[in-house]
This record gives sequence, structure tokens and C-alpha cells, in this order.
Amino acid sequence: MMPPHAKAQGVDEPNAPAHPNRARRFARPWAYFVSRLDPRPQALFSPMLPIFTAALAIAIFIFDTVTPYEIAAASLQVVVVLLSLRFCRKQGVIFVSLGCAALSILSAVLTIVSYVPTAGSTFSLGVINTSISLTAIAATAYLALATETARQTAERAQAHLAHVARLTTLGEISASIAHELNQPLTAVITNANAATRWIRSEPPNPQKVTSSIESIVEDARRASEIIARIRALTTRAEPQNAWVDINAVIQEVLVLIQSQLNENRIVVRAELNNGLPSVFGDRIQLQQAVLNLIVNAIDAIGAAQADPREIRIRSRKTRPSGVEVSIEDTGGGLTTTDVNQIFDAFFSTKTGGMGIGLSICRSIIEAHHGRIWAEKGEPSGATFHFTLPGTQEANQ
Amino acid sequence: MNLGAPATRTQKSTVAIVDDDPSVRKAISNLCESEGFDVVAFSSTAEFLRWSIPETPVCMVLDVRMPGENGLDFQVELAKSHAEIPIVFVTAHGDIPMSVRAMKAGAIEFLTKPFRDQDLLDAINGGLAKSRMRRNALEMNAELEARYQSLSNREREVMDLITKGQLTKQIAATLNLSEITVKVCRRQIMTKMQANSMLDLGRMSEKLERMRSGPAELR
Repeated sequence: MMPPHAKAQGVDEPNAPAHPNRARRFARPWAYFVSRLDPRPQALFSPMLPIFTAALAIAIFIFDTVTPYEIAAASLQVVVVLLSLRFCRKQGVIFVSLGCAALSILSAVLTIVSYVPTAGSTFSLGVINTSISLTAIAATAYLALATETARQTAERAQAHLAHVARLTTLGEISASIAHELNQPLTAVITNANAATRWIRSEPPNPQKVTSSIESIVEDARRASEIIARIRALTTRAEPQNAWVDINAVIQEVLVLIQSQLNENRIVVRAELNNGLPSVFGDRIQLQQAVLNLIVNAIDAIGAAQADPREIRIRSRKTRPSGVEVSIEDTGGGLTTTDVNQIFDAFFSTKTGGMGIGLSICRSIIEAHHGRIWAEKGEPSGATFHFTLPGTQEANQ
Repeated sequence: MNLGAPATRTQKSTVAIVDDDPSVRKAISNLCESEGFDVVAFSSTAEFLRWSIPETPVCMVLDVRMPGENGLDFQVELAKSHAEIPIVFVTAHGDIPMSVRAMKAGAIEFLTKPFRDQDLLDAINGGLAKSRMRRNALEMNAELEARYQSLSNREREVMDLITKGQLTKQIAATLNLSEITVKVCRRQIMTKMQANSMLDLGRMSEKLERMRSGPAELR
């Protein structure tokens, strides 16, 4: 579960004073309210749910109004409050609860106005029932808010754990990262030496000097890109949701882990389909999930002394608009028990494995409303698949 | 003996670079070009094997660690295929066993990235010198063989006996020839083999003997 997208836009800070500019940031009047909704893309849950909830609230309101005053139909509004939890954040739930309470009072007033002449005898009973309804709504709102807070705490704890796991994985692949940085640095030094030689040569070759310097700039940029990538993985930031190209995520991970693959003499065959739908989620977390799966595959191949040493990464579109990524290794493979338990925390088939990597993968993928599963390979090896929901429109 | 040209010929030398990393490949190419070498670069050893090795001296700069293969294994393979190309290894983090293995298998040098430019160029020059010597020796062998082939059967028989230390008289008796004929043969042999002295001819014969007894390799 992701915190509000609105956070990124600086709209949702709890203590921020109301700002006149704030309303102007939204082109459409309802956009402000929508920004307070859960940011999960509409594709992930029925866009009809808020409409249905609103319709239900009005139906209850009408029912409450037309029934005699002593019938506490307004208490049914608790259903509306609970439903709002499905698509609203804290403030949204408060908003809905207040709305429900207001509707109850309004309905009570209307009922009294229209029924007073005929239903005077039950007026006191009606007041009690209205109070009960309001209390029920308030109690439900309180519980809903408590649930939401608990969910956010759990989310934060999970983000912490994911961060720790990321650091652990990065520690494991630090040699790979060092190598990956050493390459462009070697190129920089070598090109600089070459440039000196081109200047000193008789006659000097300015064209070659220029091209050498251009290469140096290019290589240095590559080095800093690698550092930026590592930095992104090590900083503990709140998840930032955006539309992400899963193929780019896979390629970024492959850059970081390339030399680990080389060292283990593992060949990666990436069959990444173009035109995949974008997926909505946190780029870093998705990188982590892919990274963990690849590190897992490397370990499996290393442990099995497998031949051929190969990891096959495929990405493809699923119906109607999701993506599926599969990572297949030629390692020792899994038993049926493994397949069922492999994503459980502290379950590991590796000697010295903590059993964290894959369980983190699962929590990341599930938080992105996807699914992850493992399969035994034939005759050996294992394949890990995950799916993620995406947009209707193809990427690119 | 005046066999073959000395190694001072100003021949164009080729450096073959095999590294999977494009920027490192480009940088080493650049450095080698600045030193005036011809450069060919490959991203894998498989690609290198498809290259037709030129007649000029060649030195190879090889990355130890590449996707799916190991430079050290390739060194052994290359040696087996008799393509004796001197190899300079470069690696990001080589350890001692790795470098020992490479040097034992005949590597020119084992450099750790990032290397000093002069170290690499010195190693390449060393490799090229080795390649040039080897090439010259092979040329000399080929030349010697060609001269020997130009002899007639009789001349070869006579040469064989000369180098065994027999005198003209003895040769004439052994082959049932006149002494004059043997003398004429002898002069012919000295001319065709371009030998300056009997000692020189003896050395050539010894060399030919050795070339016959093994594969067409440098001895």
C-alpha cells in the first residue's frame, strides 16, 4: 500500500496551513478532493466504488427521511463510512463521516418537519435513535481512522524493513558495484593519458585530443550515474509512486549487477518486450524486487555449480493491461515444499541465507497489487514470476 | 648465417583488444592509437576468433572477466590452437593465484585496472617484440625449407653426407659418383642454400632436422 501521491506534490502535509495557491494548483474543482483519495490508479480498483458509496449514502438519506422518525435508518451510514476506507485516506474518511453525520441530522430535521403533526408521540424516541445513529457513525469513523493509522504504521515498518534488506543486498553486491565504477574510471584515466600523448605527438593531433576529452566526459558521466543509482537505492525515502517502465527497471538493475554476473560467469538472456504497459509504483522498490530475484538466481547457480550458467529474464504483456516478468535460472531448482514456502520470511534454502530477500519481494509485489510465484524448472532450475497491473495504453 | 631479415624492419604492429566494456575498450584503443599501433577491438573472445589474424606482429590485450567466459581459459584454448599470440591481461581486481596462472601459461603481463599507461604500453611492446621474433623465426624456417626444396635429389643426398662429415672422396665412393660430380654438387648446394661455410651448412641441416621432427612450430 502506498502513501498518497499527493504527498509528492506537497499538498498533503498534515500541519501545513491552508494556502490560497493550493486550490489553484488543481485545474478542476474536484481535483483537490480527488488528490486526497488513495492514489492507487483507477485501474486497480473499481472507479465505480466512490460513486456507488455516494449513491448508497443518498439512498440511506432518502430512506431515513421518508421513514418515520423513530426508525434509525441513519445508522446504516456506518456502511458508507466503512466503504470509504476502501478508497480514502485519513482525511477522506473524516470528510465522509462528517458528511454522513450531516446527512443524518438533515434527514432528522426533514423527518421532524414533515412528520411532527402526525408523529409527535414518538419524537423523544426518535431523538434517542438519531443520537444512537450519530454515535454509531462517530464510533465507526473512529475505528476506521484507527485502522487507517495502523495500516500506515505497518506500511512504514515495511518500508524500513525493505530499506534494511536493500542495504543488505547492496552489501552483498558491493564488489560488483566497485567493479562497475572502476570500469569508467579506468577509461577516464586511460583516455586522459592518451590525450596527453596526442598533444605531445609530432605534430599534435587536436582532433584526437578533443575526442579523448569527449570520451572522458562521457565516462565520468557514466560513473556518476552509477553512483546516483546506488544512492537512490541506499536512501530511505518514502515510497514515491509514479508510472514506471518495468523494462527500464530491469536494465538498471542489470547494470549494477553486471560484474557479479561476470565474476560468476553467468550469461543473462534478457527478452524484454517492447510496448509494455507502464506500471504504477515505486521505482526503487521495484528495482529491489528485481535485484533480489536476480541475486537469488545467481546464488542458486553458484550453489549448484550448474552448467549452463544462465539467467533468462523475460517481460511480457498480460491481459488486459498488466505486465509479467519471469526470471529463470539454471540452478539447483526447488522442491514442492520450497515452492510453497519460499516467499515466507526466514525461510531459506541457501546456506547462510536469512530468508528475507524473497519475502521482501513478495511484500513489494503485493503492495503493488501484483502477484508473485515460483515454479520448478525442467529438468533443473527455477523460475520466478511476478505480475503487476498496468495502464491501458502501451508504453513508448 | 645470413638467414632472414633482422627484427628491425619497420613493420606495422597490431594490438587486438578484447574487453566487454565499451568505454574501457574505446579508451585502450585510443591509447594504443596514440602510440601508433593498428588497433582492432572486440567485445568477446568469440568475436576475436572470427578475426583473420594478419601477417604482422600481433599482441592481445584481454580482460580476464567477461560475460560467460574467463580470459584465463581462453588463453589455454588459444595456446592449444597453436595461434601463439602474446597476451597482456587486464583485470579489475585480480588476485595472486589468477596472475600466477596467467603468467605460468605464458602471459606477457597481468595488469590491474586502472593501470599506468606506460605499464600497458611497455607490456604491449614486449608482446609485439615476442610476436615479431616468432614471426621472423617462422619466416626463416620457411625460407630455409624453400632453399632445401630447391635442391635436386642427388644434391640432398650429397648434402646429407657432407653434414655427416664425409669427405668428397668418401661421398663419391658411397654414392658411386666421380669426385668431380660431387665437387660440382657441393658448389651447387652452397649456392642454393646460401651457406657461407661448411659450418653454416651444418647448422642449417641441423635446423632442418629439428623442423622435420616436430610440428611446424617455433623451435
